[in-house]
Amino acid sequence: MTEQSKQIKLSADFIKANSPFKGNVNFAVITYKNPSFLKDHKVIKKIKYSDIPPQFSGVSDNSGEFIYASSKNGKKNFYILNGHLNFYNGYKMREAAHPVYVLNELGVKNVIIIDEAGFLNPRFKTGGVSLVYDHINLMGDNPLIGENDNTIGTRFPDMSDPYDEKWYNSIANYLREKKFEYFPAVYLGVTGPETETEAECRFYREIGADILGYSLLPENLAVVHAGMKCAAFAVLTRELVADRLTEISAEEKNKNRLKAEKAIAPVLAELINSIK
Amino acid sequence: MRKVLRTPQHENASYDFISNSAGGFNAEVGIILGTGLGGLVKDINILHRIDYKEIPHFPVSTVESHHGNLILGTVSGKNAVIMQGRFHYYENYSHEEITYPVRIMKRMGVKWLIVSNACGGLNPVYKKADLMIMRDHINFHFDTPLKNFNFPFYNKCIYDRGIIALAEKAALDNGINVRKGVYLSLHGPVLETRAEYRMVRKFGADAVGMSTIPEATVAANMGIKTLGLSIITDMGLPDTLKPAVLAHILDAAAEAEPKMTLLTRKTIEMLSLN
Repeated sequence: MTEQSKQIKLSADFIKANSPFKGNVNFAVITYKNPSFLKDHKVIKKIKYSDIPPQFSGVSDNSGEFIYASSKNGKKNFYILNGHLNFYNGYKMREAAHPVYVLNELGVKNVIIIDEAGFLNPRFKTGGVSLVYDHINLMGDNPLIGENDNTIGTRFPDMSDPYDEKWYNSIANYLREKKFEYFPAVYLGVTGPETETEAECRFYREIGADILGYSLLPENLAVVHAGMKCAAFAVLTRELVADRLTEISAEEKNKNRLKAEKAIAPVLAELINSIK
Repeated sequence: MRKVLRTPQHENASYDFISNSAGGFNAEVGIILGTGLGGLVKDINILHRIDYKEIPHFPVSTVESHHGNLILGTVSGKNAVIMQGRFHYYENYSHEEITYPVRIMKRMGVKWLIVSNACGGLNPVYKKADLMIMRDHINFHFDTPLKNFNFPFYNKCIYDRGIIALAEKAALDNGINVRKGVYLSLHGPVLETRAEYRMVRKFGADAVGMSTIPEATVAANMGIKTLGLSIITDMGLPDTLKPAVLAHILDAAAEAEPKMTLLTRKTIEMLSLN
């Protein structure tokens, strides 16, 4: 057993031991910290990341929580990872991906990842919601660099379908039925945390990205590596369109975020109910 | 963790060990066998075979499909040092480690280096199992093998025009169809998404892989004339992309291997003209 497997098992065993659930849980949501749509789900129990051995405890930021949740109607149990382990907070890529491997060890098959993003595509709107169908990795690093544990996944994972096409289509159909405006997007992963210059925005748009963010990439790569299915939403909080780039305050960004969260909350609740 | 730099003292120890084990063997030609050039071993008159593990300070290969031997022998009548098994960035080797064997080759007197790889084709004209001569490259590793490096050259053309011309002549003389294009290296190890294929094509690349650039960069900057040869093992066309199957990639490499081996041998025969 590799060192990586051991650490994954250590975390997974702790989470299992603390679990209030009896049956199998096959679904998880990974989100940025404390989005307002959390209140739409029942919190059965939560544990702090910093209590989970060994790698969940952070370098500079360990205030995230692992939540044992249940849908409002109580029919569907699932996990919520409340907080990404961000590369820009000093986590290595593999550490940032660790929680995903733990979910895999816990028997999770489907993961919805929600990230906060800025948009480069001029047709998108602040306060809008993107559904991600592809990505570009420009973080200059990868959680799979180093020894590969063949019990988790292959050395060279295929990335022709990183956001499961079937699942993507079913979500997109559902959103269209509900007349919910969403923006299909190619997500660009960059490290952050400094925000983008105007020249960078132009460059990122030029290479084919619609939105950009700092958290999704390592998690998605691990989901694909471990053979789970991934769907990803982004709440669009900042406009990053070159030539009309304007400074916004934290309050304004927060307002945009809340607007997007409000829109996405019922959709998310319905999606969670529909997962078998 | 990416490991510490290796100093000239380390190089001395490695070189002395190789030299002692091989009775002062010196080489003119260096060859790094990538996927699809492994068959060249049959054409080598092998004099010595040294396991990487025995050589002091040498990195050790971890990929299953690669052996880890330094072969000393003659190819097409020239003394050659051949790396059977190489080191990749995605295995967490530093660029200093990846290129360390090239520095040892320089010590052994190598004047010409031939590096091969298997990669994905981006140029829509290319086909699976095509050969490509590397005309140039784009480094997208977000890292460089030339840290703490004394530069004898500036604005160096990495892939020597003279050997490229020889390789093209060898291809023409022997009826081998070759492409000539720009190779871009990403760190991997995941294969590319559609959006990434679209991006790197836009950057001006004809093929995309995960190796070769570190070794070629160091070799060229030490004054070794370098030739890069690629086998296109699958096509990375974003709009018609299908899941890659490792077995098919290896099949394509096997299909191209005889052409690749012949081209390499014939090019080496003509090297003295360069």
